[in-house]
Amino acid sequence: MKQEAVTEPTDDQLMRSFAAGDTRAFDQLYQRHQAALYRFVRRLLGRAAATQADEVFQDTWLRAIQARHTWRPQGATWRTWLFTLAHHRAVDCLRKLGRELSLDKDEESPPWEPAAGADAWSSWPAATADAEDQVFWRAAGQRLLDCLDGLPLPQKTAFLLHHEDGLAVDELARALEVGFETAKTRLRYAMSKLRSCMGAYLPQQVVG
Amino acid sequence: MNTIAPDEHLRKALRHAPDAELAAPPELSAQILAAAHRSADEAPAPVKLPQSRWKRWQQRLWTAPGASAAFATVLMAGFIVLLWRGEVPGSATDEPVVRQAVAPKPATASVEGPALVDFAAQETQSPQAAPEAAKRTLRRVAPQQQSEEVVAPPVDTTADAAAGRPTAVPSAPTVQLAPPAAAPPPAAEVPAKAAGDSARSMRQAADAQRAESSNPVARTRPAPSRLSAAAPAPALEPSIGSAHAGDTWSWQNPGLWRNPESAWVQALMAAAEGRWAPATDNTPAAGATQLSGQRAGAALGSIWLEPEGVLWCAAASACQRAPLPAPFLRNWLASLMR
Repeated sequence: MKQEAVTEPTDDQLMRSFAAGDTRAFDQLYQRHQAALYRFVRRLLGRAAATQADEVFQDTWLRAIQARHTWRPQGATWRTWLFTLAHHRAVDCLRKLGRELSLDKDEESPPWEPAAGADAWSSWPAATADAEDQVFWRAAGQRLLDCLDGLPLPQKTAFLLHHEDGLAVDELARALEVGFETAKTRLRYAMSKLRSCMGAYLPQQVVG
Repeated sequence: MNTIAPDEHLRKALRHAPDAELAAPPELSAQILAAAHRSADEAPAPVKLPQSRWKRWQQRLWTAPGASAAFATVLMAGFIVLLWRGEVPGSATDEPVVRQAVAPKPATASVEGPALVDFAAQETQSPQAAPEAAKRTLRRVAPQQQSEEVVAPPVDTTADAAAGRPTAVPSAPTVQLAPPAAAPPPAAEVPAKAAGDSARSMRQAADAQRAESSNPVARTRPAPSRLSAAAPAPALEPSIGSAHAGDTWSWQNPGLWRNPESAWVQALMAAAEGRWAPATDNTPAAGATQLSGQRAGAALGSIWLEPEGVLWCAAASACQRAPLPAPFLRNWLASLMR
């Protein structure tokens, strides 16, 4: 996802320009990240809190605007900082809605795996020979979103930041302000559950 | 250090998810961009200068939860104390306040009215009518005087009785105020009208005095008719004020008049109250009649009834003179005519 052209200013430079009063720099930042952030927020909140997505999205950007004078480049990229802001706002929103957020207790046990020999995914449509078929991947994507809805928020966040935003585990740990092992465990659990949930949409060898 | 490789199948599924092309609604984007542009136009927040200790203390004081309540309480308490100590004008006159007399001065209260009387109105008054009118007026005015002024008990013989001295006057009010009733009425056709005029003028005087006493400004002035407050002859009051029926008064040259009783002298002195001034000349005026007083054999002093005033020379102090209208003196003296 880090596809910034060489000639184009980095996110940090744009943020500095915006802090100096250059509104075009902010426009550029916004166009660069708004879609990904919006998707990220929608996926974090899930279907149950989808109506809150706009509010969380707007609030994230407003906080970024307010922080323009105090923001300093740190270890993580500006994009990671922005997604972290969104994550905190989503957590606040879900707490207000009374959602159960902390399901990390299952992280102390091994990640869930389908029982050996069990055909948990046998009821799902079988993978077609043409794996590149757009319809199939469209359905797989929808299935993945459904599976994401069933994940605890910390695992969901770890998975999305890792798979969509490309953060490494250590970056993930810094962004979520947790230890490296915790971040790693969350990511492993998330991936394991999603693979099990995806069932027939994944090649058999991946599940095993 | 990324020890977990992303799952390419999951990543691909994520990339093809139905919401993969989702973006923020245009109106929401417009709001956010507008907010960013507005904030860029605003000046950066001013740097807060360090406040002085006094300013910080003031801020803490006024932002404290109970500060305003405490301030209001102090204000209220101060106001109540002011009301209590300052006796807001009007409050004192709303309810009757009976003050206790400092010293028994029966004649002082009863003749304060006559002291302010328009003496010209008494020119035609008979000698007997004057004391009688004063007596009637006293009966009407007495309750108000008791509530506002230092009022002596109506019967001055009480003090005498308490002191164990023989009371020479059997009927207190009558004897206290007037010359002896035994005085023959010299002009029988005058008394009724004269007494009426006198009573009316005395009522007016009493009303004026009441009005003055109810005026807070006037009340702060020393009352001119009080010997104890502003009398020019402080030595006069003890001898006259303590004159009782036991004192004996006798004319140096009796002539046509009987010797007066103490009440008569007291009434005369009360009529002259507020007019006394140190006598520049101790020599009595021509035609003056001397009245000498004694108490238990000791000389109290002498009163000269001059044609237009009274000269009082105490036994042990300087003389003082009080001007009085000649008709008044003539009438007063006539009440002792044999």
